[in-house]
Amino acid sequence: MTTLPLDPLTRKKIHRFRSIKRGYYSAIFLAAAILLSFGAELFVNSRALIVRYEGRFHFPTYGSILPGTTFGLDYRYETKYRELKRKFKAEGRGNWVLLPPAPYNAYENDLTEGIYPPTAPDAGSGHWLGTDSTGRDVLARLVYGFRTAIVFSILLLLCNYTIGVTIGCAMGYFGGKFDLFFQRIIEIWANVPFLYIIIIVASIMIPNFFTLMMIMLFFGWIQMTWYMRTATYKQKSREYVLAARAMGASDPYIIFQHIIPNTISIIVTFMPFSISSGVVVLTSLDYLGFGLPAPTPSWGELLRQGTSNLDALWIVSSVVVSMILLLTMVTFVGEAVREAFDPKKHTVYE
Amino acid sequence: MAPILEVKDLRVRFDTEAGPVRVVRGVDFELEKGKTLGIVGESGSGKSVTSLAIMRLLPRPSGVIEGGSVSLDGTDLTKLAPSEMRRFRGNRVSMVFQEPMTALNPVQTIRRQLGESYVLHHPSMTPGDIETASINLLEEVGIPAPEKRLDEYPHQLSGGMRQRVMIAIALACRPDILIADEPTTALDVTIQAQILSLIKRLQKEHGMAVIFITHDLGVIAEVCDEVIVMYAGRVVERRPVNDLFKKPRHPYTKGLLESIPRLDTEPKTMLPTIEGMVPDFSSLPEGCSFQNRCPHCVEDCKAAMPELDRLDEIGFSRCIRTEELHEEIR
Repeated sequence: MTTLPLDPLTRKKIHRFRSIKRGYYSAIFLAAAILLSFGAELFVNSRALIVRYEGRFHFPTYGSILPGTTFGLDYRYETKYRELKRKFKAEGRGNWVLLPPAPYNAYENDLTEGIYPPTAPDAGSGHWLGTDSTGRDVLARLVYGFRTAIVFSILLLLCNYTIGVTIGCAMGYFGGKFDLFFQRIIEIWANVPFLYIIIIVASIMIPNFFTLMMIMLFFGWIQMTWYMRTATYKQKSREYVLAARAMGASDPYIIFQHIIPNTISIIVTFMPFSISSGVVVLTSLDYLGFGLPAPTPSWGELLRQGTSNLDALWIVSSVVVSMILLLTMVTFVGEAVREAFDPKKHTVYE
Repeated sequence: MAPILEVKDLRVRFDTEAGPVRVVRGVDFELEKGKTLGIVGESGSGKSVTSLAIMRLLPRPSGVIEGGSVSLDGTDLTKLAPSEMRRFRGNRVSMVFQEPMTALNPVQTIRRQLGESYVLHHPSMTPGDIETASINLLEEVGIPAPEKRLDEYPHQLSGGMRQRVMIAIALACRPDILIADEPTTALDVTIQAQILSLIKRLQKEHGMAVIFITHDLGVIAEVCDEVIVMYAGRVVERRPVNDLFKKPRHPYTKGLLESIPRLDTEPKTMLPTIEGMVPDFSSLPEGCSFQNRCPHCVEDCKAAMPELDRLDEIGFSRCIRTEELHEEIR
């Protein structure tokens, strides 16, 4: 294995980050959770992982639907693998079905005559965390909701930072009237009530993933500009910027090659906190009903169901526990990153 | 020989909240190829601003070149468009700064910062060419094991090494003129001597002209051919270095030279100083700027600003009493 050519300072920062145990393990756990959520179809899905039928193997997880006729059933819509499994077992002809550990998807209503949802957690039926008020699997909705929320936050963060860093740097770098003008613009902008805009938009159209992101981006870029503006002012007055100009470097070259690399610690430090705030905002919007449209699995929607069905404690407790876990871990990571980048911690007097 | 750099009546103004302040009030000089010009003066005399104005690197938007011309090989730098000016900077005119600690970007390797001038001015060079050129440069400025140094960061080098790297960066494109703005002020004395002899050696090898800005007269005596002494934004005396040290003509120069401790002065006695401070630019007195500190001031000094008079073939002094004081001073 080749090691990355890292400079000693970066290595020191990584070392320091790893020595802060709770942050380090939270980072590993979160990274694993995010990676696993991208393969969530393999763990939480109504489609089977492997089906062996008449000597042939089928892998229905990804790809187009396999109609019931594929497995000798009498319907042309998507195979019901849980029923298929019971059927094959009863027949005992060597055919078998391997289902994921949680054999439900986030959209299907698992209803049985005479039993009214929500149903309590039950390992036998495969509803590890029970079902919600319309018979959908809570675990499935939790997992897919997590994936939506985290992808949303990361994308939002990238967009916010790209815009915020660029404008903030430009404000700090060019200063003068340009800075003054943008400061006033941002002050006005920041006073537009965010929730009202969302409510207004949600009342005239059903927001989807991208419209929601656009609305949040509309306000989200502001925060970063202030930090970047001050950081750029600080870096701009350092002599190496003058030296670069004396070498004939242009303004964009100086901003991207010299100033931004020197302010990276600020950007990195804010990232985890931005991710957690992204998750919180999306969840609260969903909770209020202004978020993603109805059947989309989301934590906010689960939370709403949970709070209105407090007798079905498994709904509210599972989402609250997941939320607390996620936010605490992100905060731990953020805290560890901040510690690792703190220049004062690198000097040790022995 | 035609001068490579000709500065004529250069005027610089800073627009401050308290109104415009004229910090450079008409500076003239010529610089020939291979020669070294020293600019001396107290803090606030306008020497650094003059050099920044030549490079067109005055702080924006407050610093403005009000008038005059800076012609490099016939091109007036003050009239160039910003993008054309960028082609001159680092390429034909480069600069070495005072603080080697802060003039290098702390988060980039030496390789990157050395290669920068090639990337900016010779975009056709391949990474391999740049590496060879960078190693040669580091060798030239006397850095041992240059291959190893290339991938190090500024904080891993000592102050003297960093200043050598700065000089290497400045020399990368073989400039016609090197402006050294107090390049040795932040270094200790032994390193100072090394850096000075390095600059002298490189100047001889490349035949470049050097402008040396300093308030250290010892450094001036060491490296310069000609010296201009600045006071309150104006040149007060301009002489070849030996003449200046032997026979200063302007009372200010005399005061400067007298305030250097000498081997033959009586130990434990007061060092002569020039009384008072550089006057505030916004309230310069009518007449000679040096009048309130000058021991030879007479009524006529307060009437009008003296001209920079030619003394002989090579020297100039801005004082109405130059001739009569000539005998008095030393």
